[in-house]
Amino acid sequence: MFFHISMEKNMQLHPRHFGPHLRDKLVAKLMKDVEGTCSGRHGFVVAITGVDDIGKGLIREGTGFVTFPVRYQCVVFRPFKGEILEAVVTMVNKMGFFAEAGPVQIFVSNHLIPDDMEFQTGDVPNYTTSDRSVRIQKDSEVRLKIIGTRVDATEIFCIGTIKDDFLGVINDPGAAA
Amino acid sequence: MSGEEEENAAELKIGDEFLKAKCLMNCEVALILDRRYEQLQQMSDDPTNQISQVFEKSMQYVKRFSRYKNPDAVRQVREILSRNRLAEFELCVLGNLCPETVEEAIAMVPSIKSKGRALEEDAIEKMLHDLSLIKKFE
Amino acid sequence: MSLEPFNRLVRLAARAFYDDITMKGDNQPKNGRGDNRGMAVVVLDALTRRQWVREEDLAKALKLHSKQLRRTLRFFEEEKLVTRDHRRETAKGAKIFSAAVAATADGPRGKEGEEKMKLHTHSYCCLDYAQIYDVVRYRMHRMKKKLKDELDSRNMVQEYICPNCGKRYSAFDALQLVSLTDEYFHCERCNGELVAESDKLAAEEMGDGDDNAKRRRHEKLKDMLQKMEEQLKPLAQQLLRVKDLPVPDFGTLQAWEARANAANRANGDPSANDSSKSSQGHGYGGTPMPFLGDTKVEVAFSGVEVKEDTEPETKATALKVLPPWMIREGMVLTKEQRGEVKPDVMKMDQPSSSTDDKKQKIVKDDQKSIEDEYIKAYYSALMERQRAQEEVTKKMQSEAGNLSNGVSEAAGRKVGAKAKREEDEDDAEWEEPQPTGEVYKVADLNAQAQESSEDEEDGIDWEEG
Repeated sequence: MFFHISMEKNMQLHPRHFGPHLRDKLVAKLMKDVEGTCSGRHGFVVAITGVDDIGKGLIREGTGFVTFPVRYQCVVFRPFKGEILEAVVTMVNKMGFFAEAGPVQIFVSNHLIPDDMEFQTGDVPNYTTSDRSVRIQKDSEVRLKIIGTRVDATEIFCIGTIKDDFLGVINDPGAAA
Repeated sequence: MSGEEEENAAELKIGDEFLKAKCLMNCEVALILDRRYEQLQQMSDDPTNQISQVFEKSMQYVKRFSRYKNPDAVRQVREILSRNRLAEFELCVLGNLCPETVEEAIAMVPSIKSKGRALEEDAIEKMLHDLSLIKKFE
Repeated sequence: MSLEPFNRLVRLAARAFYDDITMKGDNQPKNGRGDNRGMAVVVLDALTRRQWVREEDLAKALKLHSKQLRRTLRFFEEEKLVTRDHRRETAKGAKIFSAAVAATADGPRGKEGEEKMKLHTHSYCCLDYAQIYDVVRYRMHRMKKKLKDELDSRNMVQEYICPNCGKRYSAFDALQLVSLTDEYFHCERCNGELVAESDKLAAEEMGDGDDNAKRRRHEKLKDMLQKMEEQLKPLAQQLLRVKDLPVPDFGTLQAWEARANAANRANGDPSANDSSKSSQGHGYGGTPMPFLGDTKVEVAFSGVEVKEDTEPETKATALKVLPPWMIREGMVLTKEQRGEVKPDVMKMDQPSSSTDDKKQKIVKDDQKSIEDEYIKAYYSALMERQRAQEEVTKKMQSEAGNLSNGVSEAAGRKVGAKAKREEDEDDAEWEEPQPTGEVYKVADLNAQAQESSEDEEDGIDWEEG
């Protein structure tokens, strides 16, 4: 799920940037430093949408760098256990399939794929029902439920399931083509 | 173990910080990222090199999974969902997934039927109907 | 009785789910005395014997502190078993209520003196059978689903193991395990082909401590599921039994009172006071209802009364549906009075074809009374036939040349009118010695019709012979 939250960060700025554009420099550096990062707590920082407040700078002893506390608004993406979301299938193999929902990767192991879907090997490996009406392959859109998240300092990886009511394929690129 | 183990979006256990935070539907994120992308283009000749992979993937994702494209419709969707005393998170899951039936809606957001909530099936039904109308007239 | 299966459901559910619930007060010390387990069951049981009841009265009847009872009822309200209503009443209202209570001789008395013209908030409560049915079903469904999900290891993170080196992985490591050359996961250490743990468990035995724990857990889950199904079997069966029955509904407190008062007025025939005795000792009469008049609460009828009271309406429209709480064992009522059949089917002059489909069900429902009435019907049919036979002989004597054409028609019609009930069914045709037989279940006659058709055949043979 995407959230719009407010966060704070202490930014260190080299004295050479001090001048009339200090604020711009600070914001540019903030974006460069923060956007695209991931923390276990807040998820992926997608985009900074505004800077609320820049506090008083504090000179670091011995270096000349100044630390500014910066309060900013940003869009983050944070998956939750139990959340249901849509994702695009990126890879299918005998062990299950991988899917992507924005910046997050999700693995659905074959025991969390409905029992009536069987793995078919070939050029386009896929999971297909015996009546061939439903197929999961690369680029399929699926609705899945996250049943577990592994959060470390720079990455969030999810385990999902499509073995429940109202989960599974939403569109079938094979059928559309 | 710690609070991580407790997390369960189906019961709206997403931590206090996120529970109180503003949630964004995919279509809303798409609008925000679009604007941001334009800004970046103006700022530099080669925006691609400014853009993080997270930004790019998010943008692709929200564009692919936005149920509503035009800003007016997006605003209306939030307005309709807001009438029903939903939590931000619930509101956005419904807005993103656009369930067609009450049963589906409850499967997607089990917390709307949890203990102590007074959201009637009729109200859910009406809400889903209103959403489908926006989609139709968009 | 349509209430009894539901009451049984409530009693079973109470014992299954609320037996060990304790209503601990916030300020009560947790000691042996504070242990009030089982109270929930007592309260629910008491409610099955009542309809709407004032909570103070219930507290007194159960010898419970009203605070304690209220806490329990609030809990049941949250559990969706009980509906409650609160309203401010004048002392006068309460007095009348108390008078009514006194009249039924079952409830607490002696409150009249204390209460002046103050407004008091009184709480009432009542079982919500429709919701109870749903709540119990849902609860059992959730219990089963939870255990089964865990058994199926649904929503469990899959684990993998390398058969070569024994290194273990979980689905969270999936990204690193993907192979570019084939469609399996490969061990990071020895590049062995990983197998999913559940497959491995089924395939071979590994004396790993973790595995044992997992297997024991699996066994335990299985055991729990089995025990649950076994122990909740009576409850499940009762749910099934109740499934197609009309759910008893007392309505809101206001609606219930209005109905009670209306019924009371309708039957408030002072001459019928003797039946007040029968209002005691019956579960459903245990709760007095507040009403405006000062006559006794009168919910028991004999069959005669019912007939007299409802006769004008019967003619004009259909019989009035009696609320379930007014129906007691031994009453002879029509199906429409029980509210089990739609009124339009029940008009006395309804052709039999429209009630045909009801036959089977009703036959089962009232096997006993059918048997009784069958005997009665049989005899009266026999008498009719004898009369008809006399007529026939008379006719035969007078019109000797005219053969049995008209004769059998005449006889057939009379017998048929009774047996097939194609014509109006007049009570008078079924002359009964007992007054309780005055009001019939129309459908019962239907049931008889099939059986008495044998008589008809008999009769024809006999006529021809």
